[in-house]
Amino acid sequence: MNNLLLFNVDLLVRFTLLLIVFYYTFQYPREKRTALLLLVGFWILYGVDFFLSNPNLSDLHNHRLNRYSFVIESVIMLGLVLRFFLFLVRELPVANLTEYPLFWICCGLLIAHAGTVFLTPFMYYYNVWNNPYDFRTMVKIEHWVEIIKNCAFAIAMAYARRSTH
Amino acid sequence: MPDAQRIDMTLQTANDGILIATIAMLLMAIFIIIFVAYYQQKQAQHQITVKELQERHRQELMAAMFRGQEAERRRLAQDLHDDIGTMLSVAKMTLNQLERHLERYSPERAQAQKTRQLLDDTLKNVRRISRDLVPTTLERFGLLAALEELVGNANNDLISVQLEWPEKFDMTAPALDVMLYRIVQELVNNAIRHAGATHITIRFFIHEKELRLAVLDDGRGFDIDEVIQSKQRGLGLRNIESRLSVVNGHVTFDVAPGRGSRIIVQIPLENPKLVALLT
Repeated sequence: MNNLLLFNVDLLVRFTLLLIVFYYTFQYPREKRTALLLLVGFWILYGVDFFLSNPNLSDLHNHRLNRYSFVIESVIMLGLVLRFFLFLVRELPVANLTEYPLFWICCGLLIAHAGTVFLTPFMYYYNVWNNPYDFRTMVKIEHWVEIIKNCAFAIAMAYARRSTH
Repeated sequence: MPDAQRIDMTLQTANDGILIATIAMLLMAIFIIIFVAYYQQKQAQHQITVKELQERHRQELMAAMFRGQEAERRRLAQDLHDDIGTMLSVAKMTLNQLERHLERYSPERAQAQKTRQLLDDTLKNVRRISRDLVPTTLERFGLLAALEELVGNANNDLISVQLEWPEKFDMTAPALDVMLYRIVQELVNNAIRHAGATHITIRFFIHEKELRLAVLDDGRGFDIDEVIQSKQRGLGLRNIESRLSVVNGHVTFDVAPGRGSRIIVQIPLENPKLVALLT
């Protein structure tokens, strides 16, 4: 049994939670509607992708990552983060950006997804028991951007905690 | 070239391509973050500057309005005193002369006396209005004397007004004196006329580089939201807030229907430039 099922579940959970965050952050009904549509669309696509990537669900030893969902997640997140940055620049909702938790979350997301968007199409192929490909440098980059993302999330949480106390 | 080697080379080329693209994406992401942070800060700074300028402009406009109001009051008081007052005095003198030619105990003489009484009352009223419009005591002897006069006029058998003035209290600019006098005048007037208060205390004190004025009364209070929303009734209170906004002052209404009121005015004394606007 491998642990890739957890990665697949994590993808769905994190995408849903982040989309909810964006849904409540966006101001205009059109953007909110788009966020909801993206969420529902992603769920459908994820479901189809999950079953197509793993035709034999009971075989957890050879369970594989979703083939397309990770790429789509990266592209959607990059789009949403850029839209949010545009909102920040145009409408100036906060006076001090560096103390705004969502800014740090978006920085983390942007770096993480920019660093992995070209790697995710291959994840389905190399995350197997007998990996024929050598993506060592890319995997290292993935780990580094993941660390940076977590640091950014930690800063965001620290500021959010400070603002609620 | 063997197949395995060719596959390896292809993979290596693909790997290099992805690596370069990823690095480019990361650099772009970092650039976007720096740009957003820098641009947003710059825009926010610009907006703060614009807001400050707008606030300054608004304060200047308000100050000009109050200066104009005072000048207009002065002109009106002068007209009342010099023109109408003088004419009424002349009319009274003429009536006195006329009265002397009338027979004692005649109905005409009684009529003339009644008219003279009316003229006396009107003259008193003209003087009072003129004094209310421009408190000459304030200009001549300062805020304390003017407030003592105000308190003296307000005190009677039914109403007791008390003024508490600290011993060591260097009063501020004359323009600020006028503002404080007008605020006290409005609050005391409201307490007597609207709240039906019988005991009013006017208290001045300095607290942490801030001038504070508290007007306390035992009247029937009022609903602040209702009064502020009412165009007519809330005019005086809004006027107080407008006056205070010129000097970055603040007023707190601790009021409720059915109980006495505590109205506290706070004026920071750190910025004489704002006070100078009133002059």
